[in-house]
Amino acid sequence: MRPPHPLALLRYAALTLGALAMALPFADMFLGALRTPQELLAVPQVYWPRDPQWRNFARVFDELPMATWLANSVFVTSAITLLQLITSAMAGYALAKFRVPGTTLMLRLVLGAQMFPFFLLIIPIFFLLRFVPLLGGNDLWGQGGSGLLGSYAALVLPFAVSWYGIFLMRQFCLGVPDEVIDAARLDGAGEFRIFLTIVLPLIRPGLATLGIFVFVYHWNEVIWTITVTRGASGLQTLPVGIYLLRGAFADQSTEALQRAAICISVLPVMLVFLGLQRFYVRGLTAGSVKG
Amino acid sequence: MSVATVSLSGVGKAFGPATILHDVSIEVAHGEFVALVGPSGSGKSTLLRMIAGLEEVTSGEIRIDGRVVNDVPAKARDVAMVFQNYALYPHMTVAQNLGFALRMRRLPRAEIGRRVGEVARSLNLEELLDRYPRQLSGGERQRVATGRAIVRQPQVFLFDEPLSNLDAALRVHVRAELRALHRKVGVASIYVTHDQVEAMTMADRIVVLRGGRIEQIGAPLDLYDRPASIFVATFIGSPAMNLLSGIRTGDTLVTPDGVALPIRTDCLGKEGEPLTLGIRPEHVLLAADGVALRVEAVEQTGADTMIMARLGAAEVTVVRRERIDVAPGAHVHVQLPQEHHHYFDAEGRRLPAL
Repeated sequence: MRPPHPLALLRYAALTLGALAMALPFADMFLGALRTPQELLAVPQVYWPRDPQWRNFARVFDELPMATWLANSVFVTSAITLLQLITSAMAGYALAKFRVPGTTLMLRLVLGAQMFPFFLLIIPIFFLLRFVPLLGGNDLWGQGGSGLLGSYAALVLPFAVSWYGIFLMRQFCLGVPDEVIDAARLDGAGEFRIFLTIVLPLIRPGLATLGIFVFVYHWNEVIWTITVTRGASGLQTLPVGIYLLRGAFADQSTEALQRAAICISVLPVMLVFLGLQRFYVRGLTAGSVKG
Repeated sequence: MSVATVSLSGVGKAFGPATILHDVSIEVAHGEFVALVGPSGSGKSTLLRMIAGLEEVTSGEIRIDGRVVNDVPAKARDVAMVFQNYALYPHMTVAQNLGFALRMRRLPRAEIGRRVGEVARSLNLEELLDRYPRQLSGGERQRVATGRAIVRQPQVFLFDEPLSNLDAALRVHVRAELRALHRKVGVASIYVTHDQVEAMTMADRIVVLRGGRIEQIGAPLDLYDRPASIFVATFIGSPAMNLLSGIRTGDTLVTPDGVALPIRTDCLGKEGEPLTLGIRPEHVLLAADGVALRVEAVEQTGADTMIMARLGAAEVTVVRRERIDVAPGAHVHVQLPQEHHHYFDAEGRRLPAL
């Protein structure tokens, strides 16, 4: 076997360093989840747990509403991801391939939306949900009830459409050759069927990329969820639950539990990523080579 | 002749203020193979896309099998098209590509399988049915694209420069294949190309387009023998027809360099007015005396000798089916036999002989 090229060695060294930098915090968190309360309080602190508390992972489910949090997180994040994929793909395809009056203006509006950070919209959207007519006990004028606040709709609907998703999907749709779409038209496919059978499979790497982005972002979302689930703890998601734990327990005895909960909260994201990474990597490099 | 399969009457197309097709009328009979030729920008591809239903018709009428289809969407026109870049569905196998149109029509699976198999056999694609387009060579992709059109058994085939992405040798081969296929299937075909050789060798009739207008319609050899204009004369035939311009003076054409070339007495060009004499390279005869040309370049292909020479400012090409030993810079004498003369007026229109 030929000895590896020195440059290749350097490259591997750099990659190893990067991987360590990424993995160490997780490892630290994982170790922390295995400590006993005594080990946590000992001075100096015990770093390597002598008696790994695997039970901590089970206790999280026994002593905290972990199952509810997890279910809420999975449901809300999946719903947002699915909705965004649908709306982004459809709008992106339309903006990329249909020449109708106003397309350019709409594209500008989509891009203009990025100027408004979500934090700016928290209060207006809050009031929109609060005073929505005829729902959540409200009358026709949006008075009398609490609107959609404290419902799954409040967690999902504000994120059903995103300018970023639309723009990203438009870029991927631009890569679908016009002739292929024309060929499908001549082959007798209607417009919606073309979208389903030709365009969607061809932008799959884009969908996977967007899917991961959206899933990870909303899996970790805290601010909005806290805002609308105040007084509806049954709707709290995993990150919100863990976040609130910190305040609820002043002492450090539950730190191991918190860390165990965090470890569990990372798992679904890892699963999604592992499932989609094949497409994700292709998506990031798509367009770099003329296919 | 029965009802034309495709009939265009007074068809025009405008993109905003730019009109790119003017008053185009063409009839394509059942089983006929018609080539649309013209330089880029002549509107030939747009015309094809209008027949396909991919572009809207600004004015005039398009009929397919007697039915006006101006407002009929592409999917309902029963027209198949082979695209220049083949436009195969990248995520489908060859078999799925071939069967897509049939699936769209909800034919039974067995029927789809049978027809796909039949087409694959006739186009030698059987080995490739499970491959994806990216795993195919250019020639194979071309065959799949053709197969995808045939499998539907449409009323009309449209070809948009289907051979231009193939290398020269393959192009000649596929050209012959497409011809044979057309003879077998016998469906009206409209074939867009900028390659006049393709048009000459494949088409029953050629439509020459220029700047969105029909310049001439006719059988290939009619276009070759009686071009309606200087444009057609130079577009059809390779190397192009020689053109010698001057003023008609008696029974001669006097070039700007003062050379007097005898012309036919029945030429309709008016005395003292500009006249262009056209003569094909293979009709120019080398002779011991006659018009003197200065040789600029000589190309030997083995079978032919092509001499590029000048008569004053005008270029004259001579092609002879023999080996001629002549060097650039030398002079040769040529005869321009009058029975092979073409005459064109100042606007470039053909002047009929009396």
